[in-house]
Amino acid sequence: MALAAPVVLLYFFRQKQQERVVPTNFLWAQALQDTRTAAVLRKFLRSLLLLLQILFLALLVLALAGATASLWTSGSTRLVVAVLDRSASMGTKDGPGGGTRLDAAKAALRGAIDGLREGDRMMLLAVDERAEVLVPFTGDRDRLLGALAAVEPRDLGTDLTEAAVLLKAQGAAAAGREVEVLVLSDGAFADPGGIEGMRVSYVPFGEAGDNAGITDLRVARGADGSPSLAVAAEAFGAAPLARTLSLRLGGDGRVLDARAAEAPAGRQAFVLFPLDAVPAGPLEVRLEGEDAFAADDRAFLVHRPEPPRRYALFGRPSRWLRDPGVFRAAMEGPPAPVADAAALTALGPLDLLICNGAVPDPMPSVRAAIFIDCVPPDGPVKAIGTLEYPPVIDWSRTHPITRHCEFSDLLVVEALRLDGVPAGGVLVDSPQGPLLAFVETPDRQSLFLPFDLDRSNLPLRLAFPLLLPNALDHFFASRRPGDDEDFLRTGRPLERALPPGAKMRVAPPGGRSVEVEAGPGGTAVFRDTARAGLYAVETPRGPGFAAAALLRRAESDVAPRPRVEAGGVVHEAAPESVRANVPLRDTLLLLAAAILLVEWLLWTRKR
Amino acid sequence: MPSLLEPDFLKRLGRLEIAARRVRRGVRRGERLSRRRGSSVEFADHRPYGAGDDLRFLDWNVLVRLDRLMVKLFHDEEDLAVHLVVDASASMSCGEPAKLLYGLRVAAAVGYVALAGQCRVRPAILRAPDRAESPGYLRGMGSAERLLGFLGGAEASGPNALRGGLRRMAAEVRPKGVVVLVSDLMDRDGVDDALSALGRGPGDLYAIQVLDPFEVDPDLDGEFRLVDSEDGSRADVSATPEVLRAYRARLEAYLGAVDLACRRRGIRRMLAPTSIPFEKLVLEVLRTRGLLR
Repeated sequence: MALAAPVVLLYFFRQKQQERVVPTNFLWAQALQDTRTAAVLRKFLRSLLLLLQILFLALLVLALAGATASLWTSGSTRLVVAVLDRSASMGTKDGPGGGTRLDAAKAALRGAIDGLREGDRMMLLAVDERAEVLVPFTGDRDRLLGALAAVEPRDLGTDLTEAAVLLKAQGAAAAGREVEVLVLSDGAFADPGGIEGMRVSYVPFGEAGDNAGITDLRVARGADGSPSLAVAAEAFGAAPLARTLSLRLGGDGRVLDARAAEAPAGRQAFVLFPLDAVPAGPLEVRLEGEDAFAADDRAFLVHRPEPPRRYALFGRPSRWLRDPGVFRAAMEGPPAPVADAAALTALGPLDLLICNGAVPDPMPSVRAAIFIDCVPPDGPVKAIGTLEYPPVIDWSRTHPITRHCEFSDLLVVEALRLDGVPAGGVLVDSPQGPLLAFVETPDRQSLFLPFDLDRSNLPLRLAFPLLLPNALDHFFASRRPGDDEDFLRTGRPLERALPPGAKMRVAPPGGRSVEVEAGPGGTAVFRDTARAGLYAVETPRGPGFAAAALLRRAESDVAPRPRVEAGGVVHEAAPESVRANVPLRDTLLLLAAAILLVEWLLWTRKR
Repeated sequence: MPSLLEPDFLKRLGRLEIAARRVRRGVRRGERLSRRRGSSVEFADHRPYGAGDDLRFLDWNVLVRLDRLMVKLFHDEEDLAVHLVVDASASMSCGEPAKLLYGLRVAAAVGYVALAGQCRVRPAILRAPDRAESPGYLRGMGSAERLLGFLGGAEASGPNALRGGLRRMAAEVRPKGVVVLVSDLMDRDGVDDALSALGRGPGDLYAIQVLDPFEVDPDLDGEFRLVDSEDGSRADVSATPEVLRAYRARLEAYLGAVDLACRRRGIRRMLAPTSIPFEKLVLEVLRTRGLLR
């Protein structure tokens, strides 16, 4: 208003009349009469010009003051829950100005926070695979904005289930008031279940649809026991996958191997990297090239080559069990059976003990044991008699140990009758009892063959050369509790088997190291693994590494979803829901320019 | 009267005379040849002899040559009445120079010429509502000073005086001879009615319409409140091209109406913007238009 005063004053100054005496003015009066319509218009225009000038000034001031228009005009105060997706895909850089989707979502949410009116309350809920209440219901804009500014994308997937539970609880506590839920996300999440009594608005973000990423890793062992790394990569969108996968050392990034990853659009490409010659330690798999979503272009793992397994044969000799090393690489042990427990103890720590007809006393601590025609006295499985000519009625075709094995023609003359085998442990069954059982206890994996091989036709059957390698792979290839993992998916806890009270120090990638203590159960747990990369782990056993990788196919599919579902209800994209305040600077400047132009046109017309 | 006419200019006026188209019988013999055949020495015409005609005027040469009796006719010499009527309403005070001053100088010049030509001159100043101030008839160069003094003392004031003043004048005297009306002829009711007071007699009627250049081509720009000099009325005018165009159109129409009214009454109207030098008006325009020669 103060700025408009000079305009008005100038206007009236400009409009001051000069008085002049003329001989007679009746001709002027007639002339004015003739131009009355034009005069009325002129007077109107004169006033209009003043109004336009004031309007121009007002628009200019409003534009420079950053005026916004509030779109939230309902009369009652509002309860708003802003659910902000901070999952990995929200880090896709396809936002305005090269920013991420999360940046765009935060900007939109800032506008919504600015648009809160007196009495409105907003809760800020950040979600990835978990839900975290950053700010409970409050009308404090500064607090909301401060918490919002600290939100960063995390290398995690999206799961709104926990958020839905929280929302239901908030809805119940709202005492009849309607809760508005603003879901700011790219929609890469599954149906989290119904959210009754709330008005859900899905505000989508993201433009890019094409992306290629590493979706899975697996350290596998070939038939000869040689380890290899299987990497799955996939292209999402219309473009096929035509990139290169490189295997690098985790420390200095030196490329150890590189292979083409090619696949049609929407199909996975599997690339195998042999790890025989790869030194133990951290590794990085990288999908060369760039795309909008970088988090899935790298994956990390720690290569832990399998150590040689020591084994021993105990009990009576058998021509069928002379050298287990023929079934699996890196098996070390004496070729002849050990006859007594003392000799067995002299061999030192063992990974595998094969007991044929007798069990040493005491039974040594081993990782795995195969009991043939015998049962250890310290285990849960007991022998409670014998079976004669037990017929095979069924066997497991899915268990890794009996995979590819055929037992229909197995003939056993006599077998021990086993008791205490859990239901899931029976691999080959007869009406009277199991003929093959696998029992896993915390300290040992035990495979029971309760009959003398020489009194059965099993060694002559094709199943025999398959059964033992399967068992050895199952014993040693799979991770056991206490084994260090090759990698873990982000968000999963990092665990190390340590003596109770032992300290473990973990340094996350780019973060400060944290010390955790092993609990009474003998496990130290570090949970903050939301960032993909290599974690330096220091334990009493020595320094080492752990690796966390994103490996979430749903996150790699970065195509924005036009609609989402919650409890089976489809919510279409409603980007206007979050626009509480529309910035008007450009609009106001445009209007001001237009008014200036109109004023100029009117002025020239008046002249 | 030094203030109205300069001595040098008076000398130049001495070579002029009133060029009346229709000479009126005066009451005294003057220097003007009357159309009435008279006893002057200037031959006018012949006519067949009639019984009773003065034989002194028989043209013997014609009789000898043509054997016809013809009587010579001579122009009679008589004086000429010149009425100088000056409108002194307030509207005449406007302009630079003031229209009244300009008109008075014109009237003084014509009156001076008339006096020099032995005409009887009757100046009159018209004032509202119906006054026609006049010193009466003046004759001879000895009256020149009185004439100029009378005219020089006139001041413009009051509302429009044309209608009432002319009627009053017409009621007091029968304006015969030459009537010279000096006025701006600006009347919101028109001048037709006012001019009718002059009648349509056999005399020579002249109207010298004195206008200020501002009235002819106003150079206004901006917002104005125009105050009427006669009635004080006001008109708020935005001097836009459109309004100025409308004014000029109205002025042209008004002047056309004035011209038509003058023509209907045999009045020879002369437009005299004060932008025309006074000397040029008298020595060229009035001679061109037949008032002086």
